[in-house]
Amino acid sequence: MIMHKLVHSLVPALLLVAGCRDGGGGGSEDTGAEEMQRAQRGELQWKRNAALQQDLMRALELPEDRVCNELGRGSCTREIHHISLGGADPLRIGLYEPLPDTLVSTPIVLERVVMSACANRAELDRGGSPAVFVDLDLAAAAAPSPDDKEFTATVTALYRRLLSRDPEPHELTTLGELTVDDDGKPVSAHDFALLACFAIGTSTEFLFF
Amino acid sequence: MTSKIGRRNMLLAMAGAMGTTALGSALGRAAGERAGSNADKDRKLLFVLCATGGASIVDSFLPVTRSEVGDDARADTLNAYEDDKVITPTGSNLRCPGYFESVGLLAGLYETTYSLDGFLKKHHPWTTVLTQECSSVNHSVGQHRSVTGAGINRGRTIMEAMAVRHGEDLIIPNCNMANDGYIQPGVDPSMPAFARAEIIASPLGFAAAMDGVKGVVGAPGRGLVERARGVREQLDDASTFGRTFADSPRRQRFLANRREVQPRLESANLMDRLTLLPPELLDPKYGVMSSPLLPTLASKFSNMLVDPWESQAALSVLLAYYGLSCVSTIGLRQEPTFGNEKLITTPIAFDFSHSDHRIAQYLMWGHVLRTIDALVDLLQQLDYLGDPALGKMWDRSMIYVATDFGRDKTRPAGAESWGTGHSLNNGTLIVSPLLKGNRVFGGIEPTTCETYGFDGSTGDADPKLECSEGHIYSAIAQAMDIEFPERFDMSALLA
Repeated sequence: MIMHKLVHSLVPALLLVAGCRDGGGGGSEDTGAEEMQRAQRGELQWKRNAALQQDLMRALELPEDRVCNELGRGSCTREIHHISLGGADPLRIGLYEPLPDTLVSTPIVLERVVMSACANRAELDRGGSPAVFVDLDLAAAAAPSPDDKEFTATVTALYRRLLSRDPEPHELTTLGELTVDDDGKPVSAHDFALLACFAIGTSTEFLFF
Repeated sequence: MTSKIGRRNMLLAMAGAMGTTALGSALGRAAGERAGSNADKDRKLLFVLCATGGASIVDSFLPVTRSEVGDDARADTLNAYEDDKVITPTGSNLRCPGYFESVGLLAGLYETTYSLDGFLKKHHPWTTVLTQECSSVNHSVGQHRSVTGAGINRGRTIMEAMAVRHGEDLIIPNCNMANDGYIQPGVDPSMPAFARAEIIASPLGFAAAMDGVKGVVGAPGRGLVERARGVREQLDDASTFGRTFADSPRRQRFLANRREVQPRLESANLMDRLTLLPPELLDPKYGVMSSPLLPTLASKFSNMLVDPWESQAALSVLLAYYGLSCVSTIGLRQEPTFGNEKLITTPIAFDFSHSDHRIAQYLMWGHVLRTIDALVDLLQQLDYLGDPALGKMWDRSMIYVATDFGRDKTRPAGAESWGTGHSLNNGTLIVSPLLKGNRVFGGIEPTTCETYGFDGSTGDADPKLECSEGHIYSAIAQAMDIEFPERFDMSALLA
């Protein structure tokens, strides 16, 4: 009897689990994206300076001082641009609560932070045992083509690290544009790594939740 | 209001189509490349200097002498100055205390870098004092009311009102580098978003916020970054997240700034123009240049690299000169500033008056006036937007010294060093060619050292009148062509 009740109570949960897609790489599943509806209230939270830094440290396996140092004069996220990135500053300027909304400079500063973190990660990976760009030869003159497994593996790793999901097929296609420059010539593997990291890391999906 | 927002959007769109912007045009003119707009010709500039902690007008340009009190015993209990310590420079209708030696336990800790009478001697023609009775002795509340006129204009700060009136075509019209109540926004929900303050905590580092990649070591070339940005925008629009939250106002605001404003800031190369760091502090590996105006600014703000007050003031000049903003707010910080060997400002700014009123007021007023002196010199020197046809920046400028409240007017009998509490009674200093200068509006009762008000329409002082924060706000607004229904008539103050 007890077992019967237990099974019955678990049925809804099991059905839910069965309904979830698995986490296979490459984004080959149907996500049901076409069925998505717009959020009516559209309430989003802003990932503010400390959370942004922590997420970049975690995703790119960086120590705090390698995320972003502004012109060598201080932490982008903690000292120089902390207000623009949504932080508070009660001691220096009496800002006891962070600003409710992003500023004009916020997207610009976000780009600086993410580009710096990506560049630092690529530099570390190129100089030692790679942690993030493990599927790329960062010294290669040409980035892998979008059809190469190295391309898919690199993009998938970045999506998993930064957005905690796999890329959709159309996203892989779009990111394929970063393997070449405006003239259609291949960019270096190092530049591709940075550009892909930058494009994903500055997406609104990464900044808001 | 709707039409104004529409005009702003239209201007931005037109500018984008032309490969430039209102900002771009302003900067272009600074470089002598193209003509300006009607808005540029009419625009006025406001610099709000926040004298944090309670700057007492009795200790600057409305002092009372012992002989005016008329009773020695009473004078001993008032913040009255010895007759020979009050100076009236030639040609000035205003007067001020002369140099004050620190006494008591704190003697010898401080040194003065600027004399009040030196300021008056040079700037009395455009110096205006308005008496005032404020409505709060709480720091944050008093600060906020000093910039909102205690809510007289639907709760808009004077900076927000300036941005709405004069900053519609500018990218970041309202820049605020101050602190505490001075950086709190107004409470008018109808105010357009573009007029909200851009809070700047690090004036020395702000230039970097003008470019997404310049100076980031290891970043790919700009062409490739632009390509990545384009890919990102595609991803953002097409992703499940982007489509789900397409209507989020917060996300929309963020994307509007990224897609419309950022390219214009970057194309104008503002990072180099606003960089206040000297070449010796800029490692060549960053590829960043100092502002072309840095030598000019450094000649006036010699302590800029260590004193945030000076770096804020320097940045405020650049923001106005390059057509980025029409109102900048700067604020004294809580920490003291060191001179050569001694302190040149007191801890917690004017609020150190709790411990030593006279030395705090003299040093801090000197610090504020030294910056006003520098600002006036620079504004008189520089053509607006670098365009001689637009005249000097000074001709369209106003410097408003906002403060929390006044200080107590009494002292222990005969004390040479004493502390004061907060007081509602005070006065306001405004330096501008747009007001009648070399004049005090209102008056002071020498037997109490309390100020009294004036009639804004006639300018006549009247001991029965009190001028509120709303009157000060109205005077600034009227001089700046800002209209609102509740505005007091302050015509008598206009130049």
